[in-house]
Amino acid sequence: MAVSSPSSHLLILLLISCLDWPSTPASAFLLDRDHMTTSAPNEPHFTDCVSREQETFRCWWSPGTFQNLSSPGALRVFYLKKDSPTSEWKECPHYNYSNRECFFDVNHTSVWIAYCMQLRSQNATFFNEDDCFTVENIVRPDPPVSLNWTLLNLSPSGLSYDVMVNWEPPPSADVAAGWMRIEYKIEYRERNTTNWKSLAIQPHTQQAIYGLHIGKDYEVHIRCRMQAFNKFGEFSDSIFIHVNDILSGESMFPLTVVLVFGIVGILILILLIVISQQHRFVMILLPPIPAPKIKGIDPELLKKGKLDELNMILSGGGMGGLSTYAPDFYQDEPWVEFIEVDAEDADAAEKEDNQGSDTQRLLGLPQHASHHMNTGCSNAIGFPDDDSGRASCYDPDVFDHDTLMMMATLLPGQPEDGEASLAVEEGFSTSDRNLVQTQTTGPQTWVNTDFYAQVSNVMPSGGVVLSPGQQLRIQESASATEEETQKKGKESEDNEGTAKKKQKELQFQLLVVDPEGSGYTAESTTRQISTPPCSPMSGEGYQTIPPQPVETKVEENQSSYIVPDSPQFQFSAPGAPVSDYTVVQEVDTQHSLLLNPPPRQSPPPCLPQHPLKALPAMPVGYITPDLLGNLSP
Amino acid sequence: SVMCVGVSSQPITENQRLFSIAVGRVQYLHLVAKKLFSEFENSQLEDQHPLNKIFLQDFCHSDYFLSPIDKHETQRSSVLKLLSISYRLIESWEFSSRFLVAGFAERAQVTSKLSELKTGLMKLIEANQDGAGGFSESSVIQLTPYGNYYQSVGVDESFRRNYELFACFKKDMHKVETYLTVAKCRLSPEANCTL
Repeated sequence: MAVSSPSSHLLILLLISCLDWPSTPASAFLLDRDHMTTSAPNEPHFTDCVSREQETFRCWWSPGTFQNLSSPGALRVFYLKKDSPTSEWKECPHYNYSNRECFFDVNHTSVWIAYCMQLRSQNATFFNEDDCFTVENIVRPDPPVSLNWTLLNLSPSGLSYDVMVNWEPPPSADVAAGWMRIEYKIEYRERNTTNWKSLAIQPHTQQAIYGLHIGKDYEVHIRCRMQAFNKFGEFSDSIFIHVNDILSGESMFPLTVVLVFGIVGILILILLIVISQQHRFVMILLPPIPAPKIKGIDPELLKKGKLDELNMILSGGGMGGLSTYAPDFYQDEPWVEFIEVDAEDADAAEKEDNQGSDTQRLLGLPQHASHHMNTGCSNAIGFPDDDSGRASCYDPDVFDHDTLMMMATLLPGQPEDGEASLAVEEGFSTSDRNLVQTQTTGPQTWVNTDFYAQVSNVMPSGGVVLSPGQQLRIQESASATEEETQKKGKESEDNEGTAKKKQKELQFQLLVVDPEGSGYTAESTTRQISTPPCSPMSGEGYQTIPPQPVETKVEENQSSYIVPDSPQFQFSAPGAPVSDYTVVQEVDTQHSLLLNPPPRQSPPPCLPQHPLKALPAMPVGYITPDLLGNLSP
Repeated sequence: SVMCVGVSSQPITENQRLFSIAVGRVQYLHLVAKKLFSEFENSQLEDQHPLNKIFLQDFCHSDYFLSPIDKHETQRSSVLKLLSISYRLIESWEFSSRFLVAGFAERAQVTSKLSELKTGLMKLIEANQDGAGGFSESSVIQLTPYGNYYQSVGVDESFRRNYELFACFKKDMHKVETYLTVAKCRLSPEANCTL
């Protein structure tokens, strides 16, 4: 309409306002319901027009206060489809009077085309033309279906969890063909609460809900709308989510705490025990290394090699120094054990061929050789079986004296000392026999396990030849060997028996020292002083110490061993394979050291030397050079 | 806007890729159109003019284009036809968008976006032409100024025109989005073309 004047403007405005801008709520349904301003309509009007899938739509009307028009058919629905400028009003294609609904099927529904609705009575037209819309703007999709949830994860504390909710699009909405694009909105709340929590709207068919609490019931529902449009559909039926305390996370947490604390407590307890018993643990884990300990002798002397003082002490200032009254240097080590030899034997058996004496037992007195004409093993038969180490001769048929001799040779200083020592034990136990003595008719094969001898050669016959060259070395390190001897003699008193296994090649005579003042003081008492063989010795058996020097083989001997140091002593011939050590079998009444006579290889025995004179009747300890001087031929 | 990229194991074709891009762009334009319309609508509430929005929206220049107006007709249309119609609509609004009195930077963006979408649609048309002879000439393209279709009745011509502009723009963007989505879902292998 052309506007010519302001007045006409106003008129037209009024007209338009009456016609085109009705303020009736009939058009209210076109607005979003949330913004609808309620005003009670009096005239018949449309209450709502809704499309569910953008293919059909329905409109509902109300007679308003005009009750006379409430009967079916009193009001008729007309619509105008503005698909062309010449379109006309048409009546509702399908009535449903039961709910006052006009249904537009797919043939009568067009999208992007404006529709206007009108109610007409018989004599009036209720121009609710403002009830005009396009179908896409009145679409309210059906609610999604198949709503369910799955547990996503559980918090470490076990108090909260996350779920994943998923669903299907409403079946009426043709999402698959792309005809509708739908976005969804989830709301959830705790049961019996009023406020819903909503999640962000999104177009996917699943969404996660985070931070739900264990033990609480949750209600979840969902609705949807077309993308870029405002009208939501109805909410779906609610589902309920509940996760209770049965979940392992909840029950595991306190158990884990208890375990951790328990383990920590136990560790602390163990630590306290270890600390309190530290000394004991140290003793168990790091046992002290045995050191040579002689009762009555300051261990410092042993360590520092103060031989002079040591010898002095051992000699007891001349007389049985190492007595029981010697100061106890090992008070703090109560576990130290000293070899104790029966004092009576030591005293009594000075030069007596007393088999009860240790010396005799140890040395295996040659005059008893005839009595010991048997292999050690065969002696075993009559011996009480006290499981002494007869390993060397458990089978008398197998071992011969040579073998035994060889074995016995190896015994000194060997771990197999046990054999010899045990054999010695047996020797003692028998008391009459020298078990370990492997004597043959011929040479005596004595092996003194207390002393060291280096095997320089093994005879084809089976005999072992000790190296004579070791004589020097041994002499030089006499202190060590002396200690060794002491130790050996002390460690196993029964080792004395092994002394009976003597090598005939021994050059020296070693004095077995009993620090206790008892035991087999070699040169004392019980030894037999056999005539020392002359120089060429077979090296087997013991040799008596010649009181006069025969051959000063080893002037450089500084040890306390008797023989080497003194030129007065006779030594075995250097050329001959002689034993390094010689055990003083006995000291005769004239204080001569009797050594085992050499074996067959030995040259005609030399004249026995004069016995040692200055040798005390009970020489306790080693014969020092001083003492050697007293040994005059 | 979410693009429905093929989730299937099959590699996506170039055609599908172009469709995805086009659908994404038109979805964006539709959202922009909705936003512009809502803002304009809210800005006018203060004027206390109960607006007959639908009346104002009766006619759009695009109404002259013969285009599917329901689902059945849309599904019956070929992909090429849908692409052609979409192309025309976009092209018309590329011209008319200058009249969008949005006063925002989006106005300029809308025009450029429309131009880009038009280019993409042209490529899609070329890719999907199976020997057809170009566009369908059945529809008459009217590139006259938008305002000629509406005669100012009310007090505020600019307001009315603007309202029509925004309403029609929103409607046409939804139309193009629907056409392109239907065409894309028809070409995509997966059963449910959920974006």
